Amino acid sequence: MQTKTRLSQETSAALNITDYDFFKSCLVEYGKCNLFKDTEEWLLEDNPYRRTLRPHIFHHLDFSKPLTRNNLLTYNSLTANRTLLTVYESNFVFLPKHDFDHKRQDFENFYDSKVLTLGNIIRPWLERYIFSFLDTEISVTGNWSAAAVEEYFQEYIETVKNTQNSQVMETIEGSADPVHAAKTFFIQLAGDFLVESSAMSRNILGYYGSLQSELFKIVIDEYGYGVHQTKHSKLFEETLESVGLESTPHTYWQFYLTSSLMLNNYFNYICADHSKIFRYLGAIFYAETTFIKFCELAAKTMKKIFGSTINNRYFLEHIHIDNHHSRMVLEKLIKPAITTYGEGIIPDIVRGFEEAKLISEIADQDFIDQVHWSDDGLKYKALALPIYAKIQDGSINPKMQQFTEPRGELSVTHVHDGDELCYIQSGVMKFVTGDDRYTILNAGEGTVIQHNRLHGAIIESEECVYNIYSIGDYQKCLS
Amino acid sequence: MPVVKFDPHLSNFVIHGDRRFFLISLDNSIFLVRDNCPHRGGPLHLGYFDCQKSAIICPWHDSVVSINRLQQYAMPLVWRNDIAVAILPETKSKSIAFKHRHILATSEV
Repeated sequence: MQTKTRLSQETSAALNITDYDFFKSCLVEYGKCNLFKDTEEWLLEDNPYRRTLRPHIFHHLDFSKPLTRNNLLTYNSLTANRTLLTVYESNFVFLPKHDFDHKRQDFENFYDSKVLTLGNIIRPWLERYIFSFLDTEISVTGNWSAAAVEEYFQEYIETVKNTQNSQVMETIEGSADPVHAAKTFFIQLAGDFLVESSAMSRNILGYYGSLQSELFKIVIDEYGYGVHQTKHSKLFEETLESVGLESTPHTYWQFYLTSSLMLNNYFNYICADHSKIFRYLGAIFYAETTFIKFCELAAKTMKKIFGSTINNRYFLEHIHIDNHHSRMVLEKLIKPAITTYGEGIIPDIVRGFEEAKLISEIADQDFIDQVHWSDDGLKYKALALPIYAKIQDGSINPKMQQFTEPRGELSVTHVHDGDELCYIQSGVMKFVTGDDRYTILNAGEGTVIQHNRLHGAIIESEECVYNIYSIGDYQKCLS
Repeated sequence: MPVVKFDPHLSNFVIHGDRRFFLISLDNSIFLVRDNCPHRGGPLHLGYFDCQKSAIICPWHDSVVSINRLQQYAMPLVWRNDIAVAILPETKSKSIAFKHRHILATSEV
């Protein structure tokens, strides 16, 4: 008895996962894995182990207070989400398509027990940091009955049926470069779709009666009944390839928006923590139901943009099968779960539904904003000189940092929390706002960098000297 | 059962046929509770919030309606951003009205 008590005290002292300093030191240690350091390339093809996290900045970041609705797209959030997805996915099996021998060391490092352990330690803190805002943003109260939740979900089914358009699809079609916008959208989906159903498969293990078998039926569909050519992730690979995109997981890691990572993380979050199984039922009902109409609209838009070259089978399959999945989740999972486990689980189910909906809406808006930001590259370039002139004449006096970088130096994609002005003193910079989307900045030129917008840069001259001014709000600078 | 959506910043009171409901903050969460006192139907939103008894005192006959009871029978409600969605009980009446009323029975000091 005494031994047991002493042991539990020692364990608790050594593993205090609610201690911020302990979390931070483990995070910094986690970042020392060489798979996560900065890269010299934009794309990392067929190497699912390497994911740049910009770990050299970890120790400057403050994760002590959870994100709120107003700062979900900050640099801290981007870092937390990139890191959390890496932690979650270390539970999945990843093997490259080719050249395993050369990637063997990365494979060993990705699944190294020290990295896995550190990942498991930092995971709960990162989850709280990212997802606590849901508790304040969504309130589910009252006396929920099975009939009430049925009414609530039937109303949503009707809303989806009557939906005629999607802001995301309208943004893609209305973009200055619809092909690029569509590809950017596919890149956002790829983070999840190429490992489709891996998160939900966490719920397959265990013992929970007929619900387990019903969920398994959905997973069977997702996995194409063991026929690889019909596995949903394989269908999505073909969609990517048909529009000229790479189809290996996380090739476009640097171009995932914060919210796309967050949405992916959310499903891992509620599936990795099995106390959230009822939330998961609500969330998956939202996903399966919404996806029916989403795929119908996406198929139309993509056909319009890519013509007959696009392989739309992924979308067409989901227009069909998700009618079944939506019904199966409601009739075979949610209703029987309420019958078996009582109406007390309904607020959790409704919460999961609402949480998935909210994060999806945030992701849609983030994508729309990124398309506009990317489309307006020349507009933001033109805004640079008037603001620079105000700095020169002393009208404004923002904080400035100067950088000198050699040819080929790549700034891994990131976001800023406030607007910034990038001004080139000498040399040439390629300012990147998406995969293969950039603005060339020569000496004497610059660009406004809008807060929360993903961007990176690469030096195109022997040397480039540039200044970054923290201007806060570019519109105020111009007024 | 009608599913109703409303902006909770603009409307804090719902009238559905002869039944009335109002929004109230209890234990840091917002509930849509019945306004009709179970005794004779008095307007609970005009009652007095008795913190010690953890109850609302109806302004008509001083009936004590416990917070527990109000929570237990509260309407299913989801509140997100500027939208509240509630599921109301089935009645013969189809008319639903949203109002903004001054709520006297509030737990806020």
